[in-house]
Amino acid sequence: MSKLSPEEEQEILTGPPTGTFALLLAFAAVFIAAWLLLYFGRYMSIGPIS
Amino acid sequence: MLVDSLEKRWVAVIGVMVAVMLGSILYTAFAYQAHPPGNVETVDSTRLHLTEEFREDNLGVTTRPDGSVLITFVAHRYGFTPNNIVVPAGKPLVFRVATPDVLHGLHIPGTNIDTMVVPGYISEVNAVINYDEVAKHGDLKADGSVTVPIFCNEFCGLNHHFMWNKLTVLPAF
Repeated sequence: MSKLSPEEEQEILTGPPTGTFALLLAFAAVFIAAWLLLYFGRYMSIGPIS
Repeated sequence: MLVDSLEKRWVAVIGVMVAVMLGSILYTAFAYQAHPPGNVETVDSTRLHLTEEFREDNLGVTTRPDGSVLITFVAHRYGFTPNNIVVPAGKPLVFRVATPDVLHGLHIPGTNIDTMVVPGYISEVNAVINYDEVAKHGDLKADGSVTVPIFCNEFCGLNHHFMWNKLTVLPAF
């Protein structure tokens, strides 16, 4: 296990949570892609109703 | 009010997600008239067979002057009348269904046609059937027609599971 220097540790603790934000973006991308696939690929493709 | 920058990003991303979903729904609602069936029309269930529209001779499939196809039928314990309904694919269809007895459902596999048939009301569903999708769920005949079942999907009594009908879809020309 790599040992962090006090400066590196401080930078991680005080810096912006880029990993969390990357996870959020990945979740949003997958969610939207799946939703669009179901809505246009499965629902609208078999004929809209009203 | 102090809002952390990460929270602002969360809000922005979720806002984009909601905008994409709502935008898609609004786009299809206006461009393709896709929305839940909302017809509210009452009928006296006890005199259904005496009404002009749902008299037995007037049930079935008729083509309207505008080219759309009107399908009028009755859902009753435990079946649908008339028995076999033949409709074209790719044309605007208008299903009008009523019941003389209890609550029934109407579900056609391979389509989005799915509605409740409530005593005292006429259920109306406008739809266009996609031939390829229906062909995946039904029996394909040599002449190109596809027969799919119409199911009642609301429990309507002891023989609910026997309540079904046939819908034959002709290929679009």
